[in-house]
Parts: sequence; C-alpha cells; structure tokens
Amino acid sequence: MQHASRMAQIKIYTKKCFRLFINGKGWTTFISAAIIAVIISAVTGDKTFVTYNDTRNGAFAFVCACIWIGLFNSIQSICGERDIIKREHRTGLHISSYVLAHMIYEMALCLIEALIVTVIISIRNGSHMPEDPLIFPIGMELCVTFFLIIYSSDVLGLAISSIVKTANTAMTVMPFVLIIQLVMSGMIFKLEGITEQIAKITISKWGLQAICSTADAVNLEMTPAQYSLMTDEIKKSYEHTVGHLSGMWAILIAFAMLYGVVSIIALKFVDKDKR
Amino acid sequence: MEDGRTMYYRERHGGQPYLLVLDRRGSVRAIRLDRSKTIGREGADCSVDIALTSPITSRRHGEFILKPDGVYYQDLGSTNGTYLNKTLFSKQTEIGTPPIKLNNGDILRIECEDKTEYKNSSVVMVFTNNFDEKTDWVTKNLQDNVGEIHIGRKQSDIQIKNEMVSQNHAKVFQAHRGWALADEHSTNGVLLNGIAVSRPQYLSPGDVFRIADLYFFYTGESIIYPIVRNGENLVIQIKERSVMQKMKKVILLQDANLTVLPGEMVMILGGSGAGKTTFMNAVMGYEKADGKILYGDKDIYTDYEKMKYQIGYVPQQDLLRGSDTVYDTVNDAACLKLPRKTSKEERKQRIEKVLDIVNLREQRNHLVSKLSGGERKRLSVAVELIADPSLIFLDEADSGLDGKHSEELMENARKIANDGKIVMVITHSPDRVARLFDKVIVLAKSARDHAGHIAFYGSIPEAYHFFKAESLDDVVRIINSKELENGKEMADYYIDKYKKYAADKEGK
Repeated sequence: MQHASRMAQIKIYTKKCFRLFINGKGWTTFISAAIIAVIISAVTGDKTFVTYNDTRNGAFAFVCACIWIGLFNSIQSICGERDIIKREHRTGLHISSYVLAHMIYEMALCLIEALIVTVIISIRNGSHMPEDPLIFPIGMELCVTFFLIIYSSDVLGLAISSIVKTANTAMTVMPFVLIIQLVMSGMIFKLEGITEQIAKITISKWGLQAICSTADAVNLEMTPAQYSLMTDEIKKSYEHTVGHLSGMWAILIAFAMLYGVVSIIALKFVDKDKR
Repeated sequence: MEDGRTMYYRERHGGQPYLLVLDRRGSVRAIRLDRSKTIGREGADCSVDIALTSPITSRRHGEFILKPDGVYYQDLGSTNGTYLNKTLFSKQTEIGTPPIKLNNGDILRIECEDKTEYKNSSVVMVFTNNFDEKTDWVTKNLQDNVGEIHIGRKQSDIQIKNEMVSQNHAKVFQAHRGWALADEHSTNGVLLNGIAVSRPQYLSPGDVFRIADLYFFYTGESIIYPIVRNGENLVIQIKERSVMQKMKKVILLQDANLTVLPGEMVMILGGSGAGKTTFMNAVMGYEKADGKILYGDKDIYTDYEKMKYQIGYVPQQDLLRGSDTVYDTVNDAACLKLPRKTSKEERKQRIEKVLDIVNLREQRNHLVSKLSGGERKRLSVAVELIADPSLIFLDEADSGLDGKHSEELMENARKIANDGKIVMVITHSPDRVARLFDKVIVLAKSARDHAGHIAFYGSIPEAYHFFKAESLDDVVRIINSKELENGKEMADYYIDKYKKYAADKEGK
C-alpha cells in the first residue's frame, strides 16, 4: 500500500512551516532583522559605496548582519523538535522531504529579510548607492546578494540544527560558527596557508566579494597608501564583471545546497538517538 | 450471518476435547486433552499434568483418560471425591472409581462439605469437545450498584458476537436473595449446570451456565465469559535485548515470551530498571531485540516497513508542535499515514471519527499550546489512531495527568481495544485503572543476571493470587522487595515461579 510520496510530504511540511510561522507569531523575526539592519546602517559611515575603505568596511558589516540573521532564523528549528522528527520518521516521514520543506520555507523568510535589509541600507545610503550595477538595478542586485548570504547562512543553521541534539547545544555552537565566518572573511586579518584554505569555505569571504564587486570597490576613491597595497589578487577578488558576481552568487547557492545535503545526512541518524 | 437472525444450535460431536478449569487462580484455563492427563494439587512435589490451586484437591486427584471412543474420567481415590453434574460419584475408595465416559458439557467439581473453612476453594471443570482455540476469558465484575447485566449478540453489557446467541439472550440480575439468571426468550435457551432455565434461577458461586457451546462461570463476585477474538495474535519471542556499554555487552532483557490476543489491553508493570520501556520498545520494533515479534504471519523486525503504519506509539512526552491547531495536527498525520488513494472526503471522515473517539471535536481549532495536559495527551492518541493501527503502545502516557484525565485516557484506550486492537500500556497508577485491563505483564530485574525477566503474565485476578497481593501497587512492592523467599530475592523467586506456572498453564 502506497503512502504520501516525497513530493506530497514536501507540500505537507512546507504548509506546516508557514502555518507554524503564522500561529507562532514568526513575523517577530522580521523586526529583529530590521533592527540589525538599522544598527549596521547607523554605524557604517556616510562614505560607504564612496571610498574603497568605507565600502569594504560597510560591506563586511552587511555580511556580518546577514550571516547573523540567517543563522538565527534556523539554528533551533530542527533540534527543537528532534523527538517529533524521530517519531514521524518511524511512521513514514522522508527526511529529505522534511529538510527540503524547511529549505523552501526558509527561502521565503530569507527573501523578506533580504528585502528589509536592502530597503534600510538603500534609505541610509540613498544618495551614494553604486551607480553601475552589473546584472540588475542596484537595489535588486544588492538584495539578491543579501538574500544569498542570508539563505546560505540559514541553511548552514539548518545543518547545525540537524547535527546537534538540543537547542542549548545549538546556541553554544552558534558563536563559534559566527567567529569563524568573521575571522575567516579575510577582512580583519590577512590569511595565508591553511587559514586561506579554510576561508574558502566561509560564506563571509564570498559574500564580501559579491558586494564589493557590485560596488566596484577597487575603482572607488582610495588613499595613495591603499593604492600602493592594491594587488592583482585583490583586484581579481572585487572584479566588477558580470562573470565574477554571478560566480560569487553560484558559490553561495552551492553552499546552501551543500548544507542542505549535510542536514539531510545528519538527520538520517535521528533513529539512533537514545532515550 | 444476517444481523437480526439467530441460528439454531446443533450439538457437534467428535471435536477436539478440552477441559475448561476454574480454580482459585480466578481465571479459566482451557486445557487440550490431546492425551490422558492427571489432575492434582499444585505444590513442590507436584507430579500431575494439570495442577490445581485448591487445598481440597488431593495430590493425585483424578485422571482424564483418552480412549478411542472418547474421554473418560476416573477419580483416583481422592479425599473429597469428584462431583459430576452435581452428583458425587466417588470418595476415598482405595482404587477410586471405574472410569466414566464424559459427554460434551459435563461439569465436574471438586468441593468440600466444610464450605466455611474452604470458602472459594472449589474447582469447577467443564468438559467440552467444541472449543475455539482463539477464545479468551473476560471477567465481568458484579457491582452492587448495577441491577442487571444483559447478555446478547447486540450491544449489551456482555456482548457475544456469535450467531447462536440471540440479540437479547439472557440476563443476570440482582433479586431478593442475590444474583439470579433468567432466559430472555432466546432461540437456543440457557442451561444452568446442565439444566434448562425455564424461569429465573438463583446463582451460587461455582455455577456454570451455558449458551450453545459457550460457558459462563459465576464466581459470586463476577461472571467469567468467553469471547473469540477476531484479528491477529501478537507473539513475542525475545531471547535477549542487550546494549554495548564501555565495550561490554549488557543484557537489559531476557527470555520474554508471551502471546497477546486481539482486543486485549495489557498493562506492563515492574520496578524501576526492570525494563518496561525496553520491553515495549523491543516489541514495537523501536529498539530491536534478539528474537521475533510476530503479528499474524508478519515479523515486526523484518517487515517493519510494511508494519509501521499498523503501530501506534504514545510516549510519555507529547510529540506535538505547540503552534499548530488540533485539526491541522491530525490532518497532517492523516496525510502522512493514510494510503495515497484515500480521498479527501474519506480523510475528513476519518479525522472526524478520531476526534470523536478522543473527544476533541470542540477543541479542533485550538492551538496545541493552549490545550490542557489531558487534551494534549488525547491529541497524541488521535495522531496515532489516525492510521487505524492494530497495535497501540502507551508508555507512561498518563504521567503528569490528574486522576480524572488519566482515567479518561485509559478509558479511551479501552474503547480502542474493544475494537479488536492490541493495546499495551505502562502506567504509574496501575490500581486506578486496573479494572480496564485484560492482562498484566510483570517485569522484574533479576539479582542473578541484572536483566529484566517476565515474572508474571496473566489476568489481574490471577496476578493477585500469584503474588498473594491485594493490589497492583502491592505487586510492584513485592517484586522490588529485597527480602528473601526460599533463599532467593523476591524478583528471582517470582521469575522462577512464573516459569513453572507458565509451563503448567500450557499443560506441559
């Protein structure tokens, strides 16, 4: 006798996620996203998207905010109902359907949050937004980048939430993940050797490059000292081309997919949870 | 069979002979007479095939002898003799009596003239050659506040789904001098101790009344009656359940073998660490043990994928999402668990039916987080019931509930079992709900191997007799006691006692 297919289960669980969002007053998460965006906008200088240095600093702050928002969205969502998942898995739930349903729901959530962040940053930097976007109008292009950073961080949160067994553990792990993302972005410290390799698997590194690429950071005002430090490597990282930006976006999408797979694999072991 | 029509009874001859035995154990045993068998008093030196729990029985009391032309009974020179259909036909002769051929429905009794000292010591045995192996015995307590108990094929106090039983067949009622039996103009009549009941008759403890080939035992406090279970048996054959701890194999449960019949509600009792949850998880395939769990012809371990929709499990903690509504919670469970071909209409009907069963129709739009503890628990049951499972497990599902809600939950479980399902329950308040259960499994942790073993499996009256206890709390206290009995800790004493008891019950 056949029961609900994987597709049918994705539908059931996606609907459930949205229902729980509405019933559980999930919209409050948008308030925290707005507050974070306002704070970041307040601290970034008036010369974001004007000078090289302020643009890099501003972009780093936007990336940090987006990673925070994304991780916070999901880090407790799966581990918080692990016992329920175990029971439902024993009665026919496909883990892949469950995780995909969450990914669909989180996608919608992240999109709204990216819009909020974009609107607030656009208001703050309205007079000096980058004038030469690569793929879409500037607002939309920044919104896509913000969305992909938030979303890949969100799915990373899902993966962590699938690996750890309690909400407490998830909240203990979260600061470490954030620190790694910040330190390994290449913004604060110059990375060499192993750290440079680790940096390649961080969302922050590619997110920062995507924003700087849109802003054409290397062609913004800079001091002679900064100009003298400008290497080909940096220029390549912030290259203001469609190919480069879309490459950054593709890497962020790949991260989201990879974390999704990690989440599915990790959650398959839910049956082995002890009492 | 048409619902309204009763079939005429015709006595069948030549079937497999059985002996239905009621003694001080408080339940009826059906013993297959597939060879000649002796009866006598149980004890350490007991050497008979059928051990009876009664001090008025001699060590070797009598023998059922299988001959080509039928079954014969011979009293072996017992002290108190044996009555056949209320006539004493033997008492303390040197060689006993010559064997007497038994007929279908004959009632044999061992009684003592001194009924004051040996009250409740009588043994009643019914010889029958028309008995269904799937029969189970149910005890209906006769409470003083109940005036009449109706027996019939339609919804009655004692409902017998047999085409030879009339819709309203007979009644047992409280008359001036005690409980009495009356035939309610049934098609096939009622025999009381072998004599047709033409007008109301007073009942005496030990009386047997018969409708077609169904026998009802009156004990003075209850009526024990047969029901044939429709559905599959759950056969549990666990050799052991072990885990690895610090690179060492630790056995949690050993030698748990028993059969649960369809429609039975079984309580799992035991002290802390005796392995109650381990046993339940092993039975439902949650944590596999070394052994087999057979439901009909399917092994839950090897056929789990096919079986998973037939297993319902309500754990101690509520596995529900607080921000979902009652209806949506059940609806999602229905979408997941019901077959793909189920139409939307059928699904809705099923949801409504389940909400009715658990009495949550009025709360259908409430958020789960706003429900009371009892309502949440009933919702957990509803989620499990939606796929109409045949096996339902409740693991301390009543913990945290007050007395009223706990009873409500168990009454719901009883209703479910009455539909032919098997319900197994672990509860911390056994006595509060004992009346609802058919059987009890008592698990005890052995001091010898530190593993959980079965220390008893049977009806609750049998358990009281087995443990010489007055309540199920008493049983738990006894099994946990560190006092010694025959040089063994109580747990081991009863584990060993049960092994012998089970073998004896099977007539080995």
